[in-house]
Amino acid sequence: MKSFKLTARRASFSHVLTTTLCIAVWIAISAPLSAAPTASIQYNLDPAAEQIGPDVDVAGLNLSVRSKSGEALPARLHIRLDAPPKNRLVSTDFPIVEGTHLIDAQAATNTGEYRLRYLFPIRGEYTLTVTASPLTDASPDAWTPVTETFQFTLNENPGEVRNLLLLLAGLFVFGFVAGIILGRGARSANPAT
Amino acid sequence: MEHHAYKQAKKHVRLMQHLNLTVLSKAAILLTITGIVLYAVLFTTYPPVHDYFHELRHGLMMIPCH
Repeated sequence: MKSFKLTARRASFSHVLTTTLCIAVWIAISAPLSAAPTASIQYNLDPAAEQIGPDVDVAGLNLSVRSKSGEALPARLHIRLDAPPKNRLVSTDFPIVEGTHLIDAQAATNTGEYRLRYLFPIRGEYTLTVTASPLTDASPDAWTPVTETFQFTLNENPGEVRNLLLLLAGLFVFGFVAGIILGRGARSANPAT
Repeated sequence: MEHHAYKQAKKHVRLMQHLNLTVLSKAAILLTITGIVLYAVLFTTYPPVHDYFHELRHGLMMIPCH
């Protein structure tokens, strides 16, 4: 009789535990569904990153804020652009901007689209961080502010790469010719050796 | 003026003929002069020189300008 009571008590305890766990899981799953709708930020460069020459081409940076269903959302934007980090071995022609914040700006858009034109100064990997929040917080269809980080890489101008190769080739030829002249001079001064 | 330059050149040639330098010294002199020229053209911050070669520096991909 005693063992029957104990088994029943154990059974009811495990039942309560299972029910509690089920409720906790249900709350965890359903919580995000009942929260404010989320938005996403897209960006694109015009022209594409591969075609932008640093310090030469003014590029268009297009940002758009959309709901999950693809609807454009009026938004307040915080745009931050970080320059490529400093490379200890190879410098760029603008070392002063390496690893600095290039843009730290606030903007607002009623159409969900924002475009800025920018002359990217150096080659390398840029980091763009955009935070979008609703224009009016009190709006009934206000959505949760969202922050997204994008990275894109700009290549060096082909013309500058060619110029560097020409300089290096010129220095090599100069060194080679100088070596020949010095070597010949040494040989004629000591013909026996 | 031309006569003076000619005399100076002749003096220089005579000096050079009697100047005996080893290959190592010649190479060191050459490298020093080349280094000074390259530093002046590509790396110095002295404004008159920097400003003259500013565009060239920016056109060479990895020469730091400012």
